[in-house]
Amino acid sequence: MATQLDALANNWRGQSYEQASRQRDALARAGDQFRLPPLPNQEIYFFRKRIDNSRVVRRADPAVNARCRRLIVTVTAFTLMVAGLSAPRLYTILAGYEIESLKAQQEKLLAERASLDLDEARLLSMGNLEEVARTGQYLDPDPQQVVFLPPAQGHGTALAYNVNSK
Amino acid sequence: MFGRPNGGMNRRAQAVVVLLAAWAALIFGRLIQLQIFNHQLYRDLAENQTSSTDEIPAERGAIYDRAGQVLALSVPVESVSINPRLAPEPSIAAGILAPILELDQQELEKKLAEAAARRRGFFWVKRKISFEQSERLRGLKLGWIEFHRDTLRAYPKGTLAAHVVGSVNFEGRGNAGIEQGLDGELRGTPGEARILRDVVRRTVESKIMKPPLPGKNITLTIDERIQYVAEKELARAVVESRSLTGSVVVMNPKNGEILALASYPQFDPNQPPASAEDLEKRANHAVSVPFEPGSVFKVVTVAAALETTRLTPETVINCGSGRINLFGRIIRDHHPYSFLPVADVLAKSSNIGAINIALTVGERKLYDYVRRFGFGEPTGLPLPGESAGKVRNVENWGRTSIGSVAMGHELSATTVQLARAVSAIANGGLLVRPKLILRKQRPGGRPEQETAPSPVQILHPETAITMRRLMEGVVLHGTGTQARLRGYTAGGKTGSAQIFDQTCRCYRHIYNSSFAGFAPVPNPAVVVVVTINGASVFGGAVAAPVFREVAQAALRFLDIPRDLPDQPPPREDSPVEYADLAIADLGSPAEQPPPGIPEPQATAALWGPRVPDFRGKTMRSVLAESARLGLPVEVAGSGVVRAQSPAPGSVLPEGARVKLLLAR
Repeated sequence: MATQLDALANNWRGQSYEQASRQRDALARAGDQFRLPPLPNQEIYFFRKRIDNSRVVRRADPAVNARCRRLIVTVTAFTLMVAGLSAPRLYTILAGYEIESLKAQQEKLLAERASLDLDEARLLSMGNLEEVARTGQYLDPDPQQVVFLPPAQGHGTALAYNVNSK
Repeated sequence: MFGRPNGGMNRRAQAVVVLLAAWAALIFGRLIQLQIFNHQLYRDLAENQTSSTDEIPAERGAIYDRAGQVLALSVPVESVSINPRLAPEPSIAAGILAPILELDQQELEKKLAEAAARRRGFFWVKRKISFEQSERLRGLKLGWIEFHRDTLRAYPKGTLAAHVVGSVNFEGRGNAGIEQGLDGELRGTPGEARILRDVVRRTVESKIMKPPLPGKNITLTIDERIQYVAEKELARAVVESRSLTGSVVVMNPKNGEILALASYPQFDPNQPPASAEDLEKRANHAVSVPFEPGSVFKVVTVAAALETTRLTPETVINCGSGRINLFGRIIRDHHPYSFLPVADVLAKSSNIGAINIALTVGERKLYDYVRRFGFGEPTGLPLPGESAGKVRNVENWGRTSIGSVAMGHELSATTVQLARAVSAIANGGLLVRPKLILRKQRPGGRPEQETAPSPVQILHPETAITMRRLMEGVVLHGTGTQARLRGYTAGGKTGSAQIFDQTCRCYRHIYNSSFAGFAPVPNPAVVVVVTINGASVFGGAVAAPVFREVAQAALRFLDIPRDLPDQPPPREDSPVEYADLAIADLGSPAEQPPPGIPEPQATAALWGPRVPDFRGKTMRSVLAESARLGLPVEVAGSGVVRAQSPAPGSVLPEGARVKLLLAR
């Protein structure tokens, strides 16, 4: 089966060989001898030859097998060597990611600790402690906040309680 | 036959070979140029594509009080920016960002639209966001949101010691207080790191090229507890007396360590100043605002007299019945006294007495002692804007200047300067340098103790002890009775200097009211100076109570042993002579004796034995003297006599006994 270059080009454009051939034949019949072909040297023909190797018998060749094995071993060894040489670098890169991740985590934890230190300092401020003491009634009450009850029968001491002012 | 064609072939082949060789040579030369001569250049270019040099910010040093309580701390935070060109519609971006960052959505949308219209590639959304906000934003995984490392300077105690600690500006540089004064040491030096990034800008490797040098942590001499009480009492006094400003300094007289330094009005260093009024609040009145000290300065006058003349506490001074003509200038006392001993000149704060004492001392010697006490020169505290006060050179004094200086006018001083001067009396005559920095320490480094220059002996120890006794008299039976402490002896001096009004070119009835004192008298542990500016009442009425509360708290916090019984003598059992007292420097009807201090007797005895001065004497000598004079005495406590009733020199009524309070 022969193929012309323009037919190949037509095929790329989506035309089939048959369409291209029909076009070429039509042109030839029209006697348009002076029309330039689409491609130079389009008369060059390519042939695809079918070869039947079904009856071919491969001859045993131990030397080829040996060469093949050597090749496989060599390639494997080379691959292993390349992998071995590049593994530390790869491991370094992966470890770098891990280290940077841990560094970021450390910075985050330090920031959290600083934030907690700040909260602690705020809570321990004298103003806050006094407020807590006041709301929790841990301070000595003002005199007007203390109500003395009359002493009970048989008891010499009076009871007193603290009136929460606010 | 084939020579010619072969020769032609060879020439063509040779030409091709030459061309190929030249081409190879060019390539080889270019390779040499790239790989050898420009090696570093292209290596750097290649590295720059994947790596960058980032600055590692140096952590700003923290500020602590003397007990290690945090006063200022730097917290790592993040700031958020976006690229408006990459961001979605402003309304969508604002809708995402505003709720998380607690911003006004409409305002943010407007700003984003404006930035997009101007084709800006960078827009700060919010600086110094919280940790939680940062986590929420990162969780969105939006590529157009960028995060930047930042630092937040936080002051967890709010307004406490704000005038000492100071604040920083938006660039992180100190703009007030210690933050400004020691900015260089607090800031540290940033470092550099080489960062290797992959195609998605993840950090693969980082190498510290130059480690950052963190700032030094500063430990102040301030005691947070005393500072809190000082600020609270000062604010209360200023507000209640409707004064303008005020300041309190608490100092250890032995080493000059400042335990509290309060100034009113206060400000919150966490909030940047928003108005001129906010800026005014940042003025440190204890250090930067000098004032005429008034009668407090009589301490210097009397000390100079005891050092340079033959005057003793018992020497009687002519007080001119409350009037003196000083080179044509008439000066009056608020209370007319005819004659007073030097001790009572100080106790009753007689202006005429002080002037006559100063005239005895003389101009040059008085000036010399004013300078010896450290007035007219800065104390050297590491606080910005410290004032040296103003002391005119003696050559520039007018004829009546000696009278003005004797009672604390025609010169100005700061509260810290007064504290240093009183410390010299309290510690036996040594002028110490006020100290605000206890130590500095770089993280991981050794603490650097602050060394102070050796104190200068400005008074003889005997003079200092005598002055302490005289100043104790001010508190016991003089103008400073409001300063009496529970359980401790105290000495001090009140002051009320009229403020000159520039608008009417006259003195008005508003005062710089002050009290400078120490406690306990035998071995003073604290010096407290209180100044209330623009007060309508005198120092003995408004400043002395602040001294009482602050000194009482400071002595308790410092675990100073008491030298008096907790409860003062009951009123009916220990009458104290009040009838002839001047209540304050210039007299104050507002002043009333504090609870627990006896009221003055309505009538004084006219005939009978005179009571000697038992103060400072031991029980053995008191008993011997009273037996010799035939005076009945009643003693309480042990040690030396701290208080007596009736007052020395007064007449003991018939059937009465001299009541003596002894303490160590």
